[in-house]
Amino acid sequence: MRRVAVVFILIVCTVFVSGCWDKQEIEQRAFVYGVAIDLSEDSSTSNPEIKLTQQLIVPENLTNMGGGGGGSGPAFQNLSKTGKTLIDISRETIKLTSRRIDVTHLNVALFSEDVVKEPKMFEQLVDVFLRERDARRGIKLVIASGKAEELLTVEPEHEKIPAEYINKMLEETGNLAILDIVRVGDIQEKLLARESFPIAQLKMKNPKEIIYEGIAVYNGHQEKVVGTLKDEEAKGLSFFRGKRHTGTINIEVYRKPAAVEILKIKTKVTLKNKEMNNLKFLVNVDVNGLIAEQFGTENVMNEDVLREFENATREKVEEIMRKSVDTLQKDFQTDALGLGVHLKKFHPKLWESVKGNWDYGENYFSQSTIDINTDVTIETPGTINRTALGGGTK
Amino acid sequence: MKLQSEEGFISDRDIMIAVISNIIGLLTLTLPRLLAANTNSSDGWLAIVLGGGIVSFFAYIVSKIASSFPNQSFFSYASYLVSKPLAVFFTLMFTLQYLAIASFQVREISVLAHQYLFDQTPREVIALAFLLVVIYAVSGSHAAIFRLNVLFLPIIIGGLLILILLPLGFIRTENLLPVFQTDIKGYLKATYSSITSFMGFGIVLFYIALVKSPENTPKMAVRGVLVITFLNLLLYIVCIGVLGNLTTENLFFPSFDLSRTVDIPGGFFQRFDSILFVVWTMIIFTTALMAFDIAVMTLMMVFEKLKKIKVIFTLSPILFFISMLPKDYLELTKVSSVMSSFIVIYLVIVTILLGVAYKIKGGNQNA
Repeated sequence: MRRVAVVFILIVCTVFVSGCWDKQEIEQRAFVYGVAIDLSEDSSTSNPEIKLTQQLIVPENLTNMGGGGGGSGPAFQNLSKTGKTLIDISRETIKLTSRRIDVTHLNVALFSEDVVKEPKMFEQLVDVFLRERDARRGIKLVIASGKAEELLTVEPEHEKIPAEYINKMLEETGNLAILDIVRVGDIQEKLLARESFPIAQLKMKNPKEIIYEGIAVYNGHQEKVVGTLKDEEAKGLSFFRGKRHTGTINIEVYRKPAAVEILKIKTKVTLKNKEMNNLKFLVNVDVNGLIAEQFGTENVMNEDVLREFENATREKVEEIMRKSVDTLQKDFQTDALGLGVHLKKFHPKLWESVKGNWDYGENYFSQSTIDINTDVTIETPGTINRTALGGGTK
Repeated sequence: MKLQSEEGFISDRDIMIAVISNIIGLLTLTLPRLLAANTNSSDGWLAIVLGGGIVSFFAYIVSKIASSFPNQSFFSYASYLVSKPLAVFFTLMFTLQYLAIASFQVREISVLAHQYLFDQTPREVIALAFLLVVIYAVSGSHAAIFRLNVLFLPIIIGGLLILILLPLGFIRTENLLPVFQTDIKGYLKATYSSITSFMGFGIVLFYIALVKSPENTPKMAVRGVLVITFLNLLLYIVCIGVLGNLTTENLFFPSFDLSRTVDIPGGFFQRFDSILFVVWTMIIFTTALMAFDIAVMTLMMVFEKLKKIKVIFTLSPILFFISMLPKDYLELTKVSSVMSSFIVIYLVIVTILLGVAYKIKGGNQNA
């Protein structure tokens, strides 16, 4: 009798215990690798509508192995829908895929220029990336010139998924014109503190290539992107707050072009004048570099030549830094340099009194003086002295 | 009035481990938020140190009193110190309190699992599954509970260390500076929050009766509190350094979200939050387990004739019912803050009353 009871209980258990409410078959999931957010065509200021493009992976086409049945189409599928909230749109998309959208591996979120130039829109849209439990706080946020969805259609030479191509591009640190990439987890703190910050901007150069357009500048008080630093202005900004990113700058030595590879940038800010209306900052920049290329035929073993390289680099660095400071102070009136953060860190009392009007209203940031002092050390000349003898100056 | 056949089988080191595993609990998950809400930048560390200091002091007094009555239950030495009716009242209050703590843990694990792991599974089912394991563990002997603590401790500490070490590279100094910009009121509030998170030390009142030779137990209990103070301190600094003060304030479970910030390179373990979830479940399990055990134990002290298994089976449905009472997360937050205030105040009152009575009677005259 007892034995029968035990067997009976076991049988009942197999029916009731093995169940799983949250089972998700991997075939039933649609993995999103990248999303692009645009303003919808019929959007107006009174009734903003957004267009969300999600890049889903088509696993069958991802591997090269499938000899027979596997299709040879693209390894991704872009689905666009318009609506009011991102989640709503995303749920709508399920109808198209008949699969469950899975954002666990979402890496890149692209925002079009129109979206981020609309006040408050950016912060409203970022919310869902932070709130969604499956999304990581490491999702990279970037601005796209023009239509963001177009960037997800790029067909790179050796990458099957556009979003993955963009992600790898953002992880590449050998470009001075780009700063530390903004991750969605970091942005929450900045938005909460109403801090201004720089954010990378990308552009589709041709159907096969995406390039850096520059660095967009987000103003924490106006709650929108106020402008974009391009080319040298963008590089100049890197000398203020660049930590990870290094790259080359072009200089002229004895009227011949040359390139110096920047190895290390060390920036130190000190506050020289504490008067609210006339704050004075001194920015000390230590740059370490190596000679990457020279068109001239100088003997780089010569000390004068080396000094000349260093001077040219110093002038160049100061020039481009000055350019970005001027644009930020005069045109954008937005502190993307991180001087506000410096005040907050080291002069909290002063910061309390200026923070309401830092890069807004009175705009103490634009009124302050920023002195730049650069020190360049060329560590090595590369592996050779010179390529040709020619008529070198020294 | 000895606990039959169960006395004197654990060492005082086991008490330290029990204190550690009981204090690390739900509040470890939310503590950074509570501290960040009242302090600027990384100033909350001071509140943790102060809170830890105050609690170690109380833990010392409490375990000193308890250990001077070796192998006597809380009820028996409380009766001796503050008369029997008052002791009955104290003991039953503890029953209610620990029952509430246990049901709170059961509810929170289901909320947490619901939020981060299963969104389809009904909350009640998760809670029930968890509760059944707790009931099973409580039905066994006390020895089993302590062995379980010893077994879990390395995993819990290891998990916390991973949580602290992996995001180190993401710390930004701008989040940690400036220092000492908080006003006194903020410090007081934060210190209070940190004290509430340490309240797990109360278990020494009941478990010291089981210690074989409790001479060193007070020291061990204090050591347990200090270990947690240190861990909490590290966790808090990493939390603020990585997430920033304002973000920490706006996350429901900052310690958990810390693990969502980090990507481990290499792909396979790209996300380690799911692995840490196992550790959190264990952390909450030990806390719930001991809370329920003490609820059962205190009830049996007063009503000696009851059978343990019957007490457990009567309390379990009540526990489950209480845990399902709060309607939504707002109610749950309110319940949590009222409950922790009550625990703090009650424990302080009991400690002071027992301490004063202990002084007046001049220690344990029977010993």
